[in-house]
Amino acid sequence: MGRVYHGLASALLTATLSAQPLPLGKVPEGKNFLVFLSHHDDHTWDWGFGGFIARLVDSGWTGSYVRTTNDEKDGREWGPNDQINLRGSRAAARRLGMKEVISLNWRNDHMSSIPLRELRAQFILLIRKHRPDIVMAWNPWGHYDRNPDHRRVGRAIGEAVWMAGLANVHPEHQAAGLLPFRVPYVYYTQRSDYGQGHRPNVAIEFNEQQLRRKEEAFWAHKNVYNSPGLARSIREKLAARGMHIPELDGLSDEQAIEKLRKWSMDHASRRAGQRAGVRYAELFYFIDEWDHLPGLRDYLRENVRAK
Amino acid sequence: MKHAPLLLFAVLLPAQRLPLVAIPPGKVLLVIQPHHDDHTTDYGMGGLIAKFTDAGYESWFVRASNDEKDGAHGYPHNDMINLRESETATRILGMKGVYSLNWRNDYMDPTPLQELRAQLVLLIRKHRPDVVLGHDPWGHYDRNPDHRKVARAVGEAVWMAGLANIHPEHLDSGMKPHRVPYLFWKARVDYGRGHRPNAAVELNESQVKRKEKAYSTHRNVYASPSMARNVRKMLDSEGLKVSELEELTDEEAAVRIEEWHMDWISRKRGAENGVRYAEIYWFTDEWDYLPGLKDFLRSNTATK
Repeated sequence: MGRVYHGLASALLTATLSAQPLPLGKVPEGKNFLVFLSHHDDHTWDWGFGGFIARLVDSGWTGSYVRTTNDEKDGREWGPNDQINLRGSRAAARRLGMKEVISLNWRNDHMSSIPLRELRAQFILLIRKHRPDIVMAWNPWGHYDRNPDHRRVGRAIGEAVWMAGLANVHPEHQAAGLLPFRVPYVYYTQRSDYGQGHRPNVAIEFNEQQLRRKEEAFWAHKNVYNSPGLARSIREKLAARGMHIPELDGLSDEQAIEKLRKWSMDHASRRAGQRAGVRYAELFYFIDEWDHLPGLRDYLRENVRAK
Repeated sequence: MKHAPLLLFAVLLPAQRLPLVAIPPGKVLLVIQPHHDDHTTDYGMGGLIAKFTDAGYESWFVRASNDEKDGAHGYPHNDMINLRESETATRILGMKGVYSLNWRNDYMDPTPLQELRAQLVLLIRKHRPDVVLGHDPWGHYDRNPDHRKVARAVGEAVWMAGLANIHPEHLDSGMKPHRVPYLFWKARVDYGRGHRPNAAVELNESQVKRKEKAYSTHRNVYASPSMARNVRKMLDSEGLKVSELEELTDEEAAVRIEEWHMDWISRKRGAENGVRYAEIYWFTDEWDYLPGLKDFLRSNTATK
């Protein structure tokens, strides 16, 4: 845990990216969403997608989470990690109001070498089965993400949302009763603090209660976010540099981490909210069903009139 | 096809005027693309190809995939129908012929990059093109795996074909190394971030007409009536309409929409760049890979 924070001082000096205002996105029409990500906790980070998921559920949507890896590297021991992390993932999904977690169990951190087309075929099958109106995923074109699993999954889903709609692609699915289905709305995100690459084009607002669920979902992953240890480690690192956080002084590690976890989700969600002039938000790169038909979009934009 | 209002309010990127580039000196053009219709789409490259033909260039089209998924006639039939339509389209644009590499359509991710690149290196050494046209290997938000795979291979081949130590077996067959001096990359700029064009090419009316005609020869995939039907149904449910489509059948309406966009995009790109018709590209010349030399010459060259 200590190694993670050895760059703390330089992190404090890093300039934040200049923030431009973003349009506030409306929730599209629909009822079913799927979230395709690599790891047990990817759907619950501060930069996405917990707040949006909670909002969709509150608007009557149902959704499922697809965990692509087996998360064996995340925690103390490979074998148990898989199952413990899956349970954490289920607890988080439940807290957000999702229906289920589907685990594809590819080998964690070793996804660079898996056949892209095989992973894509799995995604296409799930899309045809669940027929989601919305898909959320890592941005396949978001740069500076050094996690190989994130990039692999982003790439496969970026292709699958479109190819699932082509009847000539994997026709064996049709023999099993699954019809082609193109996903109309896609929300990508990426840690925008990584730098260039991911430029969000829309903000999605959510409320305080949804923020709390987002926060609780994140901390449901107890196997990897050993909370009091994190607070202790941070305070030790700061103390070694002659620094401290006044509002944490006098608190136990348990109380300190409680403050920190509230603060981090609150801060990230507030900061995203500022981009669109609302209290809490998450930022996405949004693609709608027209993006693949630019000619038709342009034609309608110029020629549609009220009756 | 729900949600017309969402798209109607989408914000357009502000367009900056690009420099107009002339046809580079030379006589051979190679157009390398994954699919039968990629050289004729609205966002490029039909107008530019016609312009090369008018400038006396001899040109060839390389289709990397077999297009088996594109159409409703079954895999092998789609392959052949699409190939024939591609040959017709290239003739309209004044091209000499089509090479089909016949890689499996939509499944090019596992195609060995080096094998595809070797094919392209060979074709470049055989034809010794002055100009190559392809998808931009660095253009983002293209979800078509074949586009990305072929673009990547072309991006490497145009340079590596000039290295004598690469695929020396070609030299034994009488071919010599050849580095391609001029490149025009295209990508759909509406996909979002990634592709930023740096050059516009002016087109005349005849070139735009040939581009439109070449595009429309791809009957197997062109102007789907169900698209027009869905759009009208969707507009109707939201109390909207397009007046000029009112009296048309779905077939006619689909053709009308396709024709409208082909014309509109050429005029729009023209208007953005101060001419009547244009296409936009990322253009690189032979000096781009030698920036030091380029800067030295720019700073130090003088007339005798």
